[in-house]
Amino acid sequence: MKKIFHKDWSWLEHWANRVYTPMYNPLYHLGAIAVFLIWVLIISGIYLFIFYEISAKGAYSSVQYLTEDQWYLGGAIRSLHHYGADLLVIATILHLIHTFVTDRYRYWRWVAWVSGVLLLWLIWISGIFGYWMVWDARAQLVATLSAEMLDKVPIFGQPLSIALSSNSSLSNQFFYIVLFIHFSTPVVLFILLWIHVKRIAMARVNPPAGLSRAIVGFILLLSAVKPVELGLKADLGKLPVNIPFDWFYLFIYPPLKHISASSLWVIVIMSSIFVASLPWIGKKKRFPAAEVASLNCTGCEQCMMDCPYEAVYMAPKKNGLLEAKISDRNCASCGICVGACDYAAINLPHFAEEAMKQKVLRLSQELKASGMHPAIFTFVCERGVELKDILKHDKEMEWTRAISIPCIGMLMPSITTIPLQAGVQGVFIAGCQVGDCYYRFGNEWFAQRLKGIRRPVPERDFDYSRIKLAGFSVVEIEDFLISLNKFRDELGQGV
Amino acid sequence: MHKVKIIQSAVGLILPGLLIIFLSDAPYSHFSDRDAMLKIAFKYSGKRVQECDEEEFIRREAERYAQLQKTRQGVAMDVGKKAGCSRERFPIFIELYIDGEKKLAKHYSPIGIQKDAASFIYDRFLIRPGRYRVMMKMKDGGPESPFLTMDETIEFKPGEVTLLRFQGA
Repeated sequence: MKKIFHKDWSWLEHWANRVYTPMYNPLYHLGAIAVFLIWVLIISGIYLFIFYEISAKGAYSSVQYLTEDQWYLGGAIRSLHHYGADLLVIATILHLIHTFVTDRYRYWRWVAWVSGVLLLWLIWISGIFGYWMVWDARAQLVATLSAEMLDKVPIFGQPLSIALSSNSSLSNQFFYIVLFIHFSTPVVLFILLWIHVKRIAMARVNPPAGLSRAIVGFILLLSAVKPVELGLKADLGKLPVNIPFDWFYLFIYPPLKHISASSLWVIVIMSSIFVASLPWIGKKKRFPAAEVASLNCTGCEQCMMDCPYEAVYMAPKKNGLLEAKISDRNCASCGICVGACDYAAINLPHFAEEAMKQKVLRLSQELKASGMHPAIFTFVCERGVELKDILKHDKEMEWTRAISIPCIGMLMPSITTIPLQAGVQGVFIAGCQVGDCYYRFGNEWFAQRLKGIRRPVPERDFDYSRIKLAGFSVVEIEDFLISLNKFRDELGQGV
Repeated sequence: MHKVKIIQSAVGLILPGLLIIFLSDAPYSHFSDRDAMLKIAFKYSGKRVQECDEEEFIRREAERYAQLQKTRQGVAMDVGKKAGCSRERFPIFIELYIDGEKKLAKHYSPIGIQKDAASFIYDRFLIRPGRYRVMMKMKDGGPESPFLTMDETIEFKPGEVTLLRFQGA
């Protein structure tokens, strides 16, 4: 079932790549978009706070002033704040879906997953308290229902519902508390964000500049098309009816019409625990961590710099020189460190580099012996197009042999020359779609190695015209075949 | 090609745009404007479960201290225990009748680790608008204590919230 969702998601990404190009595909930057939107909310929130009056009488009138009297700026910023918050929920949920369907939440990634679930709840809590601050009819309903839920939590003394029972019982202190919660959740949010990206090297928390501008433009467009309005003032002596409802944040309240607050708490807590425990449900066997051959290690630190998950660290040897060490719990077994090492000092136990080289040589010799011309050797990332999909076209493609590897970041330029030295005309390397490498930097690091700007670099006589690097998602088998055949045609014309 | 991309980009924005515009502002009614609401919300301290005269205890302890001081050294007063007096209070028991029909019969426990603070009473009911006889009975001293009663006729108007508090709360 998850494979079907993965393919559906990949088709969506495929379409978005056609429209926005991989570099600006918003589906590849969902986490960074969410962080960017948090900044938008903080900056717009600061402006709104300047005019906000922290009192039972002043809260509504101050927001009314911004919305109606200062509609050209305050009202626009209020709309920006509102729609930015909604887009934040969309980006965060899409980010969660993307992470889940592409199987990027298990093992070393569990910290990011669990902290992500907490982050989502924190975003919702912050948004809900933001609605309280306006103190209109919607705020009255949200506050009343929230108070009934909070009253079930045994840590509080005086029930909040008592404070909200009448207009006369409502004190200014209530608004100070609400403001404090709304302001302090971003602080906790950033602490959780730090935990969220702690095991991720060079975490990308900023979307490309063009995408950021487009997002702001999009929210401003929404603000112009439908500016946020202000409902009637809250009146605890009246029932709040027919109110504008933000389903992105307030979806949790309608069930209270049919079930008790206690039951709702149970549902919320149990479902959150379930989602947070997904990394441990249906767990497949994890590949062993990379291993370092200490005698070969020169301490050059390239593997540490290349590791996407901070699984490699340097420690002093007995002679005082540094050597690489692996943190097993952080290791993704991707092999990117293997591709970074020019000294054969690091290896994957389940996919040894030497065994891979032998297999490449054997298949290349087999291809050469077949007499096909031009012949192409193909390296395929096992997270991109599936090798079995390629082999379906076997009869039409007798001029190629393919090997599936954990990540093309495992390759160094010298490995790609093995088929060429064996007499094959070209080497085609198919990684994940650009911008969406399963191990984050595999295709990027290998591309840099090919260009000679990242170690290990190619030899001086490296023939770039016979090497082709491209990226494909799991559903882009047709694009892969077209690209491979096109490369073959180019080689055929060049020979 | 450029025009096609712009159109495709715009189409790609329409769906999230529509989603945000509709779902961020769709009208919702948790309550009906044809209903009225009765809220019971007040704070009340129940009687002590165990009556003890703390003043008398302190007076006796002071006398003991004064006597012992004449014959011994290093004697200290000990009023901390207060003769083992429990500070626990009875929960408040509320019964609510609307036109003779029992709508509520519930205990509201005192807050505090030792259950020695006040009880907070809160509940709400949706009612059809109209005139009703509302009787609220309260016990603040345990099951053997008498009911304190308030009995009123209240006009409930549609879309309005009526707050009921016990007299003296």
